[in-house]
Amino acid sequence: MKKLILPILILILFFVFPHPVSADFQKAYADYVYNQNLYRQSYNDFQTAKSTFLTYDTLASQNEALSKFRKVLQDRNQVMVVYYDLINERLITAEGVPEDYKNTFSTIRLSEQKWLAENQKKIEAVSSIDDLNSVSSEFESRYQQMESETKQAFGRIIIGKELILRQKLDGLSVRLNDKLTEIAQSGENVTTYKRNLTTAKNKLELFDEKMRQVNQTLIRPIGEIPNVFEGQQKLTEANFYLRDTLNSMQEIINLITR
Amino acid sequence: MTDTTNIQQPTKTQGSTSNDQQPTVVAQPVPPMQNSENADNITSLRVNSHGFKTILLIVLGVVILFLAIAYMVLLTFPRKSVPVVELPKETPKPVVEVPVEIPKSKFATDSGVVQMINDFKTLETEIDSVDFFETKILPPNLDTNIKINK
Repeated sequence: MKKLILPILILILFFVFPHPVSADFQKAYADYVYNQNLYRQSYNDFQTAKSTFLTYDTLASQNEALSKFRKVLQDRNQVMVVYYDLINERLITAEGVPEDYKNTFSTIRLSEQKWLAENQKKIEAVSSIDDLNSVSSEFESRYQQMESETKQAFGRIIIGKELILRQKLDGLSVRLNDKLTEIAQSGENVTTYKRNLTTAKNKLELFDEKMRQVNQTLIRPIGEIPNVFEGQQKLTEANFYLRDTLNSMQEIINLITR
Repeated sequence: MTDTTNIQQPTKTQGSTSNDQQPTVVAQPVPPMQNSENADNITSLRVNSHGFKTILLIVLGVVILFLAIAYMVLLTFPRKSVPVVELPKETPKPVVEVPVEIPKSKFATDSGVVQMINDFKTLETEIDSVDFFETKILPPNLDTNIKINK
């Protein structure tokens, strides 16, 4: 019976707090998964063809290697094209992300997809292994910039989640303060409650300090790759301070109603 | 051996005088002696008695042995539980507790406060279930160095 409690709770939470995910996001996600599978398959085929060519060095094996080389580069490009679409769709529905950043990323996405389309044309045009090596190197040089852009977008999405929670807590804090004022007007002594509320709000300073560290980790200048894992760890710590503040405010409510 | 069947047996006299009031001892007839056949029979009876005792002892031993085995067999089988007749117990009389009325704050039922309690609970759940990992949008695992160098 106890084993059933957790899945049921998760199921309830899933319906009570549905993720704001659009149908476009679901489609983008399906495309992303599909193209990743294509890439994995063509990458394996390329490795086999490459080994055969390097072993036997025949014309047939060279043609086969060239064909598989071209295919894997095309599929790799396509994965990045759909990944930009996926991040963009997720950003559209993300709460707590500034609108100007969403617009900026949309522009970045179009720019990168344009570059990838041009790179794709080069892949189709070249007819030698050396030229494909050259086109592949162009992708490699560009990839650091693409990684920086997409990881920063990822960081903005998860930071936005925590900022929204902070806003909601601030709203409840204001309501609680108003209620204490109302109680004081009715003749009750609320000095202790007010002092407790101030103490609770002071805990948010620790949250703010942690969020500054999160921003420094996840929002980097263009070209620098954010450390997503470190950012996630710091966000978890910030979330702890938010929870602690909430507990203190709930305690004040308990004292009022007792 | 002498024949004892013809021996005069003394008899008790009747109508005696007052001087003669002492009881007269009358000799009782002595049972005749058994002949040799009878002696043999006695011997035979003694022998038979000894055999009978032996048989009796054997039978007694067998019976005791049988009873001992039967007792052991009975011990190995689970006994049928004897239904216990429950006697009606005296049910303890419930102690009637007088509920202590704890005066609740008048704000406990205040609609604004109740709404705030619910909103705090909702936010609590959101904080606990926030997902910082977003597994669906994780970056792809690509090999950026795809080349063929001879």
